[in-house]
Amino acid sequence: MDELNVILTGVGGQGILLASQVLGVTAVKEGFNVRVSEIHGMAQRGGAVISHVRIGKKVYAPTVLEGKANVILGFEPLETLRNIKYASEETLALISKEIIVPTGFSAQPVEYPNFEKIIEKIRQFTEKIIIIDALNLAKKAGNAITRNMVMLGALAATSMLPLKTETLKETIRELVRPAYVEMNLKAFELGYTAISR
Amino acid sequence: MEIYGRINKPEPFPSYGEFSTRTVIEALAKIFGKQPPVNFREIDEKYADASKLLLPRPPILCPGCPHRASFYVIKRATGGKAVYTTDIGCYALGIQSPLEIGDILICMGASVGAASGISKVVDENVVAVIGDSTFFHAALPGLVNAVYNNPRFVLVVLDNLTTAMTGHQPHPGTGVTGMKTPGKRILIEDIAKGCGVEYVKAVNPFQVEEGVKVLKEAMQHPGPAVIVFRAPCALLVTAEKRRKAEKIVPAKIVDEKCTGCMACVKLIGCPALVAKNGKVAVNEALCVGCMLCSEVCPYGAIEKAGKEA
Repeated sequence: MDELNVILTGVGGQGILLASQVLGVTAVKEGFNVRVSEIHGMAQRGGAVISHVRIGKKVYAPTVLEGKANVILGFEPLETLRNIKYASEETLALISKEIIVPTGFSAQPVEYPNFEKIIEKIRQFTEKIIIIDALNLAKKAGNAITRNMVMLGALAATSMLPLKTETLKETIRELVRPAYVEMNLKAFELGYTAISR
Repeated sequence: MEIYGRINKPEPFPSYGEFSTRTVIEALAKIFGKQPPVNFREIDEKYADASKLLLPRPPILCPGCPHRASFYVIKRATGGKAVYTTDIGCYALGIQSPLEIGDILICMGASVGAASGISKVVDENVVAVIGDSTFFHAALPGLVNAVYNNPRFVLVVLDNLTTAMTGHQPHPGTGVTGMKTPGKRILIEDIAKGCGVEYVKAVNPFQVEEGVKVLKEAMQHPGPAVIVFRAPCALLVTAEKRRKAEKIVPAKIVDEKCTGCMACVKLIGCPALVAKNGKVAVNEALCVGCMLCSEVCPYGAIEKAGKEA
């Protein structure tokens, strides 16, 4: 593997930055050169979030080039579509089907586009799409907030990552508050088995 | 040796705007007369079609943000009819609908000076909004001048007890130093009084009725008045609860009482409230249970979830 480019995208508050950190720290532990760039404007919940993680023997640019992502880890369908420019036909789009409707800035209720239509548009960029019910798996693990670990577990199960699953778990143990480690690891497992099955 | 930059003609680099990896690669490809490694035109064409489905999702005030409560109070007290100057911080997002508090935004501390000047030339009430750390950083010269020149306006200091936008750094009002050691806590009210402001009060903005009453009173004051709206940043509140392993109890819509009037959605613009099938639903993954929505609901249809538990 020369390099692995991962785009993590979704909505503020979904735990995308922690997920990026887990990937970055794990890759450093395993001796890779790493670039993690969080581009999220104001660190507000509810806003669109994108994070670039680049792992390789030697990676230079801090952000992924359009068309050059190996994986798009989409925490939300519409945000996955927003950042689909990073995909090529080689890209794996691993998408959580959790829909977060943008807050209406007028009195009109927001018409969120049809999920299938969103996936159809994503398919114009790549056919390699996996859809996962990360929110429900996270709730099964104990809390919706662990959906980021479900996504990481799912990503680990795709065997796209040059990282050992054990090292990922070790990093989660280090970065998550002690009281929540077990719940997060359970979420990781649920994501892993959902994909490996 | 050739040196390329923004001022080259014809421009390999754009003369304005942010550089992305793509911008740089396209410029280098032009300079060296090579094909870029990616067919960007094809991507752009496909994206032009795909992006038709997109909805905007700009950053917004967090669920549970005390600024939302403060803005709601300001809007209620002024009827939305004052001139609002605002400043640099999360609360600049108050410019957005439906809160729409922020007519003028220049630079740090400018809310105070702008309000002083404008109040001399308009008949409307003038309300200046500034955050706690920006207050310490840049509001004092403006405030001293306001006392000196005596314009009539209300300076509302949104004190969320941290520097939220840049990552929760401490400031002189927190009682914690930059090295995270205990320091002397300086109260915004004391500074305002020390500058000579004659009307100074502190209120919790989640106590909406009290807040509206105090702000209306402050607007009657003939000179500059200072109100501190004090409630901790929602991110700090939830982090603290998580640290203590306390449950975060979200709001709940009582279906029999909700008439679908959408007052909560229309008035406070909270991302945790979603219009669904003609009624309102709470996104439990986002809601932190600040209960501002229950203050706004005309039918008492919003309460804490798990009340029976």
